[in-house]
Amino acid sequence: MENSEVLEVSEQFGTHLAGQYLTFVLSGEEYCIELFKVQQIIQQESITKVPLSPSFILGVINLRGKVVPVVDLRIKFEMNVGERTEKTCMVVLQLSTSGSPFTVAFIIDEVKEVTTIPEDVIEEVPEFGGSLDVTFLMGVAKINNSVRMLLDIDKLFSIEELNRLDSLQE
Amino acid sequence: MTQMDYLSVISTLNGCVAQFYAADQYDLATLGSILAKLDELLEEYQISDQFQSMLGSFVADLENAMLSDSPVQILENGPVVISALIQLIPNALGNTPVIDFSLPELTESQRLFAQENIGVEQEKLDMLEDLLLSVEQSGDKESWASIASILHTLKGDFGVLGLTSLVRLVHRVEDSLSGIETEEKQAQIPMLFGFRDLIAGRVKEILRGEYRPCDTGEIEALFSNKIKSQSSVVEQVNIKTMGKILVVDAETDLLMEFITESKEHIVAAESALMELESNPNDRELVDAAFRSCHSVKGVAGFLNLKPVQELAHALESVMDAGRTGRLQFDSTVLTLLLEGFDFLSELITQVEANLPAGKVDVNPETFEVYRKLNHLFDSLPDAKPKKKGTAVNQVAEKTIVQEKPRVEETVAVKEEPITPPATALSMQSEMREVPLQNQKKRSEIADQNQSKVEETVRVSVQRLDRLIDSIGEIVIAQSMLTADPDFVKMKSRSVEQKASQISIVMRQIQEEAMSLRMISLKSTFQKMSRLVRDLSQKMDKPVELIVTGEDTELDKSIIEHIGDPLVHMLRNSLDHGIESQEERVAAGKEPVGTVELRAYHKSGNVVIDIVDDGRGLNKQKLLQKAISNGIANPQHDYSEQEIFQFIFAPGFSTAAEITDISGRGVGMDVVKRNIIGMRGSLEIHSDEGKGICFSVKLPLTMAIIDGMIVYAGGETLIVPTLSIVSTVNPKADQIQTVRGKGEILNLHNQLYRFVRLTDLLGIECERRSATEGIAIILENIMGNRIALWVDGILKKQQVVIKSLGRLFSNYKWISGGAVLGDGKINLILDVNELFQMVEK
Repeated sequence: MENSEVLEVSEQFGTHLAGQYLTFVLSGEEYCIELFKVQQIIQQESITKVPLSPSFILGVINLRGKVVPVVDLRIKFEMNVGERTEKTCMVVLQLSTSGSPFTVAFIIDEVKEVTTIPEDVIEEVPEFGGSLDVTFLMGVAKINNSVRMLLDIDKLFSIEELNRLDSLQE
Repeated sequence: MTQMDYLSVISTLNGCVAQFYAADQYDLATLGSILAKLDELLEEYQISDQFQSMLGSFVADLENAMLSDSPVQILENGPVVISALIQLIPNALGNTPVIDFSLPELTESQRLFAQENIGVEQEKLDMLEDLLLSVEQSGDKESWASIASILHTLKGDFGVLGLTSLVRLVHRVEDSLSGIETEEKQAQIPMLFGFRDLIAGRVKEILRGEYRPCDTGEIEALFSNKIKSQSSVVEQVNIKTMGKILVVDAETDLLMEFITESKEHIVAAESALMELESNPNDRELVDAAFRSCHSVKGVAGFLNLKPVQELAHALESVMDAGRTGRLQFDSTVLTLLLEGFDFLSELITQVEANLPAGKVDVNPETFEVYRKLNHLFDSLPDAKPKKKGTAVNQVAEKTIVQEKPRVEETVAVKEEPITPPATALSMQSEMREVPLQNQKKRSEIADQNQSKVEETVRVSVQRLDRLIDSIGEIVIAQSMLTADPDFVKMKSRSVEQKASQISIVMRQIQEEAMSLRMISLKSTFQKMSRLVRDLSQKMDKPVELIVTGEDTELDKSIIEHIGDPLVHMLRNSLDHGIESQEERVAAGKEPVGTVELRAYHKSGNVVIDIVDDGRGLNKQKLLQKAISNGIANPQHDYSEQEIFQFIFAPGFSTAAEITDISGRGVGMDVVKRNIIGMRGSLEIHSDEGKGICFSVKLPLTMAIIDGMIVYAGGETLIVPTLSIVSTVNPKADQIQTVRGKGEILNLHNQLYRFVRLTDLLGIECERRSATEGIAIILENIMGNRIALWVDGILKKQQVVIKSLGRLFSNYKWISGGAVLGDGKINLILDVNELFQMVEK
């Protein structure tokens, strides 16, 4: 675990992106999402498959009486899907894309940490931001020689994107 | 004195009246300003001696009152005196001067306060409507006293909420009722209905966070009903000045509902038409657009919104031509239709914008679209479609013959000034002659209303649903606990006892929680009573409505959806079922028709019957029509129920002519769809000449369904029991493979399409022989059947439906998910959508 770093105030790219993030591992790469969008992290639950859905929609789970869809981003972005280990878990997000609240869970390989990312380490996305499509990245953070990618989770689960998924399915 | 002077005097006096209402007893500043204005009037104008002396003494009174400790008296007298003063002003314009009811707007905080507290008024308004319906039948003193007390409470409440213009309106209504005999009061009933609707409309607006004070036009319109009926001269004048005006004199809250609904319908129709552009041969889409349009037309007709109704009619005619194959939906036609819908929505926006004024000027030039539509319809070739058989040709001819004069008629109507609706009073008096057997019951209800004060807490549905969700979770958590292997291993009697005690209490809580969402059919039935009353007047058919079981409770979501189908069925009964008075007498029936609306519990469901004693259904005629429409097979022997079910087929109508209210055969299609949507069912019983009974069977709640839990290819799925006809373990010789068409199940000489669920849903698994599984015979809304093959059936169980959310909203074949005892979600299949998938 790392300690929070000292904040510096200056006008730069990362100003509006600085804040608390959840860092996790997806197919060997480190990704971050804004902490306030995370509802909870749960262990593997038994997933009910939904026939005729695209392969990256793994199905639905029962989260305390609510039906929550489970998505595997690794399949969506054609990453390697590793073995399921004890560290594999699901991150449940509470999004409010396009006005209405929307809960979705996705599978990650491992939770790293919750950390505050200061603005001075956040940079614009280079042209090749890793395996993920760069349009879904808000920026990258360089911490201790490692590069963490800041996911634009709202865009990932935006209406347009979901509709695109639906049309793929048909 | 010039006319301008008179007008300015009147307007000053009106201003003073408004100020009086707005002032309270300590508001010396306001009183001072009134005083100053009146003083000025006194000095500046010499209207008449009488006027001068009255004004002079009032000014003196006002001065004294301001100097005294409590000027309460003057606040009450002030408006009365000033009204009297206005009456004294010589009638310079030939008009009766009217009191100006315009008022200052509410402040933001007042508005919020009103919004939060206005909810309770709705109940009082419902009570008022109920009482009005009952006094209309028998105006006893007690009921009138109840009405007066409700009016008084309303006035008080509005006063507290700062809705001054409403206070004054109620006050005026009270005035018009006080000091007259019961018989005279009866004549005020139409006005009171109008009043109730106006207030109900306002209450709804306030709930939405809007508020407009009542303006003069509205209030005068309310009271002018009375004038209209008293003197035919006044009425004639009204007609002359009306000209090309869209008359909006229907009840405000009905209109508000109509406006919201119509907007939805138009959006739905437009999107269907848009899709039609890419799939021109999709019947479903045309039907959908047609249905939406029909709903708009039906209600517009009922509310007397002639231009809206006529435009919708024209749109319908063109779409109908498309449905019957006489017209191709190419892009020109679709563009025209879309333009038509645009204009329709424009008209409705105008109605909405002009609600307060009570009328809308319709510019005839904007009827361009309307003319185009009719022109298109007129130019349609009368040629018969080539492909179809002779029977169909006859129908096609017949429809054209029916439609033609209808179009000419609408065009003719368009050119003429639109006539106002028939006066309420003439029918009113007829209605009162109708004897009513359950008069006693009604006044009893009125008594109950007066005495019953039940304490309630208002809770939002969301919070209630959260509670129900949590209870659902705990029930599942508890069953998971008792099924846990470690728990079972304990084998302790006392622990088991305690666990079962918990589960009993848990079920009680769950049942109680579900019942919290249950509301009675009372207000729905009340609306229906109103509808029957209005329709029977409109159609000039006296009808007695008997309502029973209005206390029967159903889930809120079902109550919300039951209104539409009931309206269609009642409309149908009144329009087609009940004969005209002459016909009834000729057939040896009572001249007054009877319609019965009853609700009751039956084996875990609620049944709503709509019974009329009209002409009933002619089985032979129905069957012939169905055969000529191509829905029925002439070779097949149909049971009575099967024949009756034909009336629900889209576009099926036996009505000889299409009227404003019904007859295109769309209504019953809507009814069936809505009822199926609520997982209910519909039966018809009818004896020709004696009447018809529609029996709607509804589940108590939409949240729970009876499901058959099945498994196929390693997946567990739930099939709603309602759609299951039977299940069978197929034998090898019952399965036949038809080349290119898949498999067929032959069961007692009935052939069913044999569909493997695993194939349909693309579940990968080893292909097994049909004899190893179970075939479930399913039936869809249209009565079609297929055999759905699954690996096996686990059990039958009641399950709570949960939505799968936005991500799966396009997966129409899933109606939802249910959490079973193991805490896992199981998908519930939508049978009607499965049929669609099979057809593809």
